[in-house]
Amino acid sequence: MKIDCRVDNNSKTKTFVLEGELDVHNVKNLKSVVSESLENEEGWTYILDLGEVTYLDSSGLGMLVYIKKEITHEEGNLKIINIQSQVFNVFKLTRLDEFFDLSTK
Amino acid sequence: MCKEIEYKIKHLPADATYIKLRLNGNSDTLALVRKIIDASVNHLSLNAALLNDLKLATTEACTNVIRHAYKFDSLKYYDVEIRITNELLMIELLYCDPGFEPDKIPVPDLKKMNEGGLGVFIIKNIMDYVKYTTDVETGNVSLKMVKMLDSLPKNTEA
Repeated sequence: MKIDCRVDNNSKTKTFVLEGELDVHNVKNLKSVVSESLENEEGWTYILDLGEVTYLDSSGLGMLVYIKKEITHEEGNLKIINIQSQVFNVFKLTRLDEFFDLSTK
Repeated sequence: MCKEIEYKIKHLPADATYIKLRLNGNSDTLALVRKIIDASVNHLSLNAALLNDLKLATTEACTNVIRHAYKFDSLKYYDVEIRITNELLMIELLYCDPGFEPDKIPVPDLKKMNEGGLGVFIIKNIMDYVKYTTDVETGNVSLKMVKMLDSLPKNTEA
C-alpha cells in the first residue's frame, strides 16, 4: 500500500492519500504512518483519502476504528473521503458508517 | 434453505469446476487469493458487487486462519478449495486449529465501534450457507461457505 501525506499547518489539516488494498497485510503500515503523525495539540483534522483504495476488509476497518480512537484521544477530527462504492459497502455491512465522518467518491 | 444447500453440496455434479490452493500463513498471499477468486468466477459474469462480496468473504476466512489459527506462521499450510456448478459456488477452507470452538466465536455488538470480531459476521452476511466442522482428535477444521448462483442477477455488460 502506498501512502502519501500532505500537511497544511494553516488549516491544521493532514491529508493521507492511500492507494492499494487495505487488508491484514497492509494495516500495520497505515497504523504506523498515521500514529507517528498525530499532533499533541487539539483542533487538527486528519483526512484519509480512500479514492484509490480498491479493497477494504474487517482488518482494515478495525485499523480505521483504532485510528479514530487515537485521533479522538488527541482531540482531533477524522474524515474519510472519496470512498469507492465497494469499499463503502463494507462500512454499511458492519454499520460502521454510523461512527465515521464519511464521503463517497 | 439450509437443508436444501446441504443436499446440493453433498450431491455436487461430477463435472463441477474444482480449484485447489495450498497457502501458507503469510498474509501476503491474500491479494493472490482475491485474484484467483476473480479469475475463477470470470466465466459466470457475476455483477461487480457480488464478485467483491465473494472476494471479501474468502479473504475474511483466510485472514482468520492466518491471524488466529496460524499466528502468521509461514511454515503452516492450509487449503482453499473452490467448487463451482451452475447453481452454486462453494469455498471450503481446510486447516488445523486444535481447541477451536466455532460456537464460541463472539457476536459483535454493532452498536459499538468494534476493532475486531467482524470477520465471521461479514462472512455470514454475505454467504447463503456457512458451516464450521471440527475434528476434536486431530484439530482439523473445515469451513464451508456457499453462495447460491441460480437466482442472482447477472452482469449484462460486455
